[in-house]
Amino acid sequence: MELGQIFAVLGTAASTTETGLSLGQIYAILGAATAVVLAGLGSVFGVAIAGQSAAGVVTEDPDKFGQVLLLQALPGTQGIYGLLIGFIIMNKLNIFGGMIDVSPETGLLLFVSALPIAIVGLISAIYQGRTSAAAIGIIAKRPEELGKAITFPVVVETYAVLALLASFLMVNGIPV
Amino acid sequence: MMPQPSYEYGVARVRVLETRLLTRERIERMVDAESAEEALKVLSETSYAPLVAELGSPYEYDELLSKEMKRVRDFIDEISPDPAITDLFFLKYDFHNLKVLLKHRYLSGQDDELPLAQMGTIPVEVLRKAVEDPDSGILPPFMADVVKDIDEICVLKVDPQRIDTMLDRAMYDHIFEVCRRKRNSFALRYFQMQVDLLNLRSLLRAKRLGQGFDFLKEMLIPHGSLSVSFYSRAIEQPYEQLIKEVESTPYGKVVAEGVQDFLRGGTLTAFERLMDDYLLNYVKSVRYNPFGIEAIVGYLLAKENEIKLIRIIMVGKINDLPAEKIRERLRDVYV
Repeated sequence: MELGQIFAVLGTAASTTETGLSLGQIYAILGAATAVVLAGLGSVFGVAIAGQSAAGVVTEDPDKFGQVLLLQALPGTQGIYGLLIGFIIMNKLNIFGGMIDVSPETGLLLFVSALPIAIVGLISAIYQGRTSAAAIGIIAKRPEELGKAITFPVVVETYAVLALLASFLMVNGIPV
Repeated sequence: MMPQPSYEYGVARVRVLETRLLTRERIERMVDAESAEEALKVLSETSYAPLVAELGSPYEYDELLSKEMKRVRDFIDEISPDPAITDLFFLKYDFHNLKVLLKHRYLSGQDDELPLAQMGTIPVEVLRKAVEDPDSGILPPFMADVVKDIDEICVLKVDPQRIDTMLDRAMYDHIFEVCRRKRNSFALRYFQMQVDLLNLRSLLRAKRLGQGFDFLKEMLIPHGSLSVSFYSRAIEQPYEQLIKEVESTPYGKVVAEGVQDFLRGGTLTAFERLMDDYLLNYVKSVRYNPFGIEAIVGYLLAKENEIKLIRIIMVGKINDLPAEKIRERLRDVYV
């Protein structure tokens, strides 16, 4: 089938599919899933990178557990942000109490709104993990400098927060 | 539990251990100690404490140092994310052993105590067997081949200088092959500088002996950054000209200071110390990479350096050398 035909078919099936889901709902749920999955994966990579550094420090000096744990946890926030946006989208669809129908345009808008936190979350979490790993190196040598060490990964966090804000404002602003 | 051999993990462990390296202040206190016992007492305030406690008398310091080196060796093996690269830094021990064993076999043949190092990548016993039977096939090819070649040559004429050179070349051939295959620019750069400095030392040695380029050519190791034509020119030039010529290379300072001291004292000790400092400084400058082998290699070299320092101090203290003499022989401390 050609692209045009696909769109034609999709257009006629716009209100409801065979399973009873509308195309708009599918788009919206896809958006929620993307935010949760991509931002979550970023956090998985990020905390794993920082966690290996943390484990190395604790092997030699178990007393530093508290400080390095804090640094390891930082790249975990992106996953939470992704879940937050995913949750708001799900809430808009009233997914927990019998879904409401949305038009394909609205569904697509919700999907696009999820992209900032999905993509920025994925990438920033990985790089934040690397920055955290380097910051854990500071703790290894100078445990008293936790404040300075934590600043570097927090700078990376800024951009995840900005993406969260963008996604949040967009999702909120879309009338359902 | 096996730790994950990731760079992050290994580097983090090294970062903690770096804090336990001897500081300059501790080294100074050891140098200024009244006696060997006093020097050991300073050492017992550091991470060496358990080893010092085991020691019967200061004269057994060598045992303490080999135990510490063995510990470092095992540690690097345990955490190295890329043993192919870290092993390159232990090859010098294997080739030192091969030199000793081969010369022993072809020159003296007596069964005396040989100064063999335990730190290599291949157990001493295996090397011993391989040297006795060059066709045994128990060595990795890059070592077996050169042992066989030396065996063939030594049937005709035994030349200890030749044995050294052939082994050095075989070692660096292998090292550079691995560095290129692994695309490790840090190791490549490190060994390239090492080769350059060794070649410069050969140049100074040849000049001291009043030899020409034909003599020097036999000793040069390939893979360096200075060209063969540089050496062929330099061997004929006066020292001042040589210093001027290397001024633009990274080794300008090392050569200038080393040659000045060499002209004053007639020995290459200062040059060798500057060589080690230079390489150590290079590693120091790149060790902050949290995702590379640099910090791990840096720790190994720092530890080797530290053990060398302690050995110099202990030898000096046992022989009642004045502190000033000992200080002169000490190298930079890594921390």
